Amino acid sequence: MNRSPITSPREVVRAMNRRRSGDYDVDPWGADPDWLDIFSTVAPMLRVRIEGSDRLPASGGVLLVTNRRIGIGEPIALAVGIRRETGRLARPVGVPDGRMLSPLVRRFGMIRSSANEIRSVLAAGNLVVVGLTASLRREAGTVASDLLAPALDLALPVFPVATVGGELTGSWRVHIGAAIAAPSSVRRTPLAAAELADRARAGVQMLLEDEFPSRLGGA
Amino acid sequence: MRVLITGVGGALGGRVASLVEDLREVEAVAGLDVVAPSRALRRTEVSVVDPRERRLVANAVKRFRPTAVLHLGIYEPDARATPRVAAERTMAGTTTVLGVAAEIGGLDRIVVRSGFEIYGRRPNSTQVPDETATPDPTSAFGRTLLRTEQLAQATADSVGATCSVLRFATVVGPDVPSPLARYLRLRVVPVNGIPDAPLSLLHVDDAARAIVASLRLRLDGPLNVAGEGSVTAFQAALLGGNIPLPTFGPWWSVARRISSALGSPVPDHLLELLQRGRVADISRLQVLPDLLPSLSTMEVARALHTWTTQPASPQTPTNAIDADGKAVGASSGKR
Repeated sequence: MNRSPITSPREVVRAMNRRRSGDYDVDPWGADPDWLDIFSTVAPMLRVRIEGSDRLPASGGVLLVTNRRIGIGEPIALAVGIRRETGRLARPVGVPDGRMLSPLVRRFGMIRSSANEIRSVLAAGNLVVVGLTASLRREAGTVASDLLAPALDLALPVFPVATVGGELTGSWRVHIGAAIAAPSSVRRTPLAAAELADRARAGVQMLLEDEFPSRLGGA
Repeated sequence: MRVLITGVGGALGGRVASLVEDLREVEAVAGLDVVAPSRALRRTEVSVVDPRERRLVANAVKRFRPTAVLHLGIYEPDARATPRVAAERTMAGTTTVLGVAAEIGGLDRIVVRSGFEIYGRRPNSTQVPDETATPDPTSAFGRTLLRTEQLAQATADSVGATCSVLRFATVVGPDVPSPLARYLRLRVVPVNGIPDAPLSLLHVDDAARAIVASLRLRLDGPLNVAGEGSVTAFQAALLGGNIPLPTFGPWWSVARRISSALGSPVPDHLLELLQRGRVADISRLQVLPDLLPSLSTMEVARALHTWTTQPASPQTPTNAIDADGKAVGASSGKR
């Protein structure tokens, strides 16, 4: 997991050669960073412009909360953008159940929508991307507070993110906002987690309105 | 401290006995197993006895009067015995050794070798369980481990002893008769057809050091132990220059039969590992440097292809005695 991201066709060839001898990384959650890099390098139709990535710490666990329309296009575009921009592997939440599909999407860094799994991934110093519930309009959706509770338990930063673009065009714009202030309550109660979820949702809504006023609803 | 080591005839037990002999705080060491250790031990009094021989086992424990039990007599199916015999030996040994040790008094610590199999691999179970995850085994070996842990904990509670439960990733080593290591060394290795799930490995030397450190530190409660990181069976086959063969659904039963015919049986816990992977959270090890494995999972996976297929025949050491206290000759070790 210590290799730098693959960014050029030559590095793709090198990575493919490594794969023939088994010399590549697969982490305990099933992520294969080479696979994600190869995919994003050989998929020039996926263009992600990202702003605010300098706000993210260079190491340690981080939780990102992003808006979402239908499917998981936004979290994946955000993960690809962060990988290209910072070299860090971001893990979208939302592995579907089922033995066939689950291992496949885990290769791209995705994890299950489970508080236990999010906690273990964050504790290992990874970035986790949680998508709000789908919304086609200019409203940020909601998020189950138990998915954010691990960040509260581990005292890790939570960032709101606005992501707009389209699966058909392959062009995405991402804006990472400032870290959300943790709830004032020092006790890590369900109420504190719910408060954090409300703040995350409000943070995403504000970013959507401020950064992408002309694209809302139509993008 | 008087230390009794069950499973002393195995690769892990022999290593542990060797390390325990060097501890200054250890007054005496005794070992029990169905075979004698293959390595020469200086001051370990070895009793060669099948754990199912309850009377003989009880006699050996009573005579020694242990204050600490390292319960390593956990027999993995198709490693040294068939699945049925392995389960019988494990359960009989656990019940008798721990029961008698508790009855005679003086027992103050128990260390049990367990495994990640205890967490099970149900479709929606946690991918990387930590020690707080509720054990929910889905294989026969996993259920045996769970029962062993429960018995050990109940024994410890009844006498006020500590019970350290070390949940190991699959333990492999040059002289470890591991079904997984044998399988990955096949020329053609059937692996899951869709991307296979990650698994963790632990080198037998690291496992031995963890057990001895746990004894010395008198740890209490469960602890996951594995080499850092993970590999997949597909990768592990490639690392040895072998050919991974993507396998689906009903073809697995064909693959199991062929593998068995080639001398590498696939018990249900191994099939589960190949199809669903097996890893666990080892972050607690970071604060216990004495237990931290020196080799990563990837390093162990590379190394296992350099070992010759073993194990060699056990040699009975000169200081071995049988369960009734009589000397055992090199040729009379019970198999």
